[in-house]
Amino acid sequence: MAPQSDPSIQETAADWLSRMVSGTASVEDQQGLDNWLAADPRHQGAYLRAQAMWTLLDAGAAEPAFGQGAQVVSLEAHRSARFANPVSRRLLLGGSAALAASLAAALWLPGRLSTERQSLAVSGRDARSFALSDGSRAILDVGARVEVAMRSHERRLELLTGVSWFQVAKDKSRPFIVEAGGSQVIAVGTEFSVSREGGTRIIVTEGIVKILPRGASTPIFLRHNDSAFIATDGRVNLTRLSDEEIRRQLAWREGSIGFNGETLKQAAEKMNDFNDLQIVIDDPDLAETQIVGWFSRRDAEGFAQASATMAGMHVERRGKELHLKRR
Amino acid sequence: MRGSLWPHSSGHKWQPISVTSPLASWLGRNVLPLEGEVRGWLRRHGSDVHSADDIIQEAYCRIGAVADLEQIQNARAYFYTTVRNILIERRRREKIVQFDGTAEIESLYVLDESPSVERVLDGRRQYELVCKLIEGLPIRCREVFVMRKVHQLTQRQTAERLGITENIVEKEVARGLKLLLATMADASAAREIGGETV
Repeated sequence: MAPQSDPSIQETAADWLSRMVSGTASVEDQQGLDNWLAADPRHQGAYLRAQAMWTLLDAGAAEPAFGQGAQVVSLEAHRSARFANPVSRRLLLGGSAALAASLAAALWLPGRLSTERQSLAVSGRDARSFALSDGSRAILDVGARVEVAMRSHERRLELLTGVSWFQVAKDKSRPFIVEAGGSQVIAVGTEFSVSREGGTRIIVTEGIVKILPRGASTPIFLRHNDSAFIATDGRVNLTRLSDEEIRRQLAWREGSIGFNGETLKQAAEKMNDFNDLQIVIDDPDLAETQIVGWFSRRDAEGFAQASATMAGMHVERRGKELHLKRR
Repeated sequence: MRGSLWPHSSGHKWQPISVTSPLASWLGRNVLPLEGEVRGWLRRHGSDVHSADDIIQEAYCRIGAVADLEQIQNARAYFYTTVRNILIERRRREKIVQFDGTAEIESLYVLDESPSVERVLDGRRQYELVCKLIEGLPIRCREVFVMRKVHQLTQRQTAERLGITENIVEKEVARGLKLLLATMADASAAREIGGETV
């Protein structure tokens, strides 16, 4: 079974392991392995070592979350790293004779290994739309950060902060996976938004997506107008939204904001996040007035005027502040 | 402290385990990435490559015999201690040198008591390590490992996808494992691959 004339214990162990994981191992193989293992504790250790290696490699199956600011390592990226690394190259290629041939081989990388990476972020005050290399589109709200890794067998994104909406180009062979807070949203061709607000909220605007909440082993399927909130402890809360509510929740994509019963205080705080001109509510009773309506996030004055009209107030401008006062 | 858990030279029974057992997984995460460093230590204490191989293999065997691995708080210290014990036993047995030794090898304990750095590879570092390892393989081998490990395909599926026989897939798995195990055994290569954690 060992191809080399004088294989080391470790090489023999590797041969045994490749036999045992082949799916074609026979009872005789198992017996042969048992005999070999029983012969010497070093055989047992070498076989365990090979098993440890084989098992460790399973970590390659699931690309984990991208760390904040951490350098992202991909199979593709390491092609160049390896060439800059004479020690392991020499080690892996086993001598200069093999070097030339292997260099030639390494320069041709199969497409399935390549990973295209993109970092998306919006730092200004307006949401922004990004075209992804697969034809999908992502709209990120202010403060959102998304890491994109396009691989041949999957499209994997991670929402690090904020909220983002995705319009997924259809590609059955490459699932589109968004990770947020340890949970996964898996789509083929559909539209949905993911936001991180304490937990993770997913809203589906078209088609069906599969979600795998953090720590869960069974997926949940969401249809359009379904919303799931995954708390930090992994608990999931499902709700069905009206078209109107969906439009309101995703109004940020057009730079709009929709209020539906929020108090004036809450609404003003949201508006103030987007504007230099700050809305100040002088009267605590007025602060609890409920607000309904659509506004441009950047139109503090329009918001103040409309709120004042609804609640019977008037607006007084003082420098960078808009004071809402009782008439 | 954790006296009863430390490895002893006493005999133990070999338990056959399935290929991807929790034990193999634990060893892959906790012990394998430290090997380069431990072999470097062995070299500094006068072991040649051949005896280092033997000692490391014996260490795997002993660690594998520990009943409850989850009880091991500091895998690095545990690995070092196991290796140190094996080294001392061998020297005594071989009686090659007047082994005055404990002084030199005792210094190991200083290392053991150092504040416990988190040495276990987290998921992300494991992923990065595996990417680097697979990327370093020769082309055919790499294709096989990408299918078998990244895509988790069976040997038969791998053979079908790549248009080669199952026998070739098996041979490439063996070849790749040998290369990867050699990489992990090389202290400098392991350090580069594993970064500062290793």
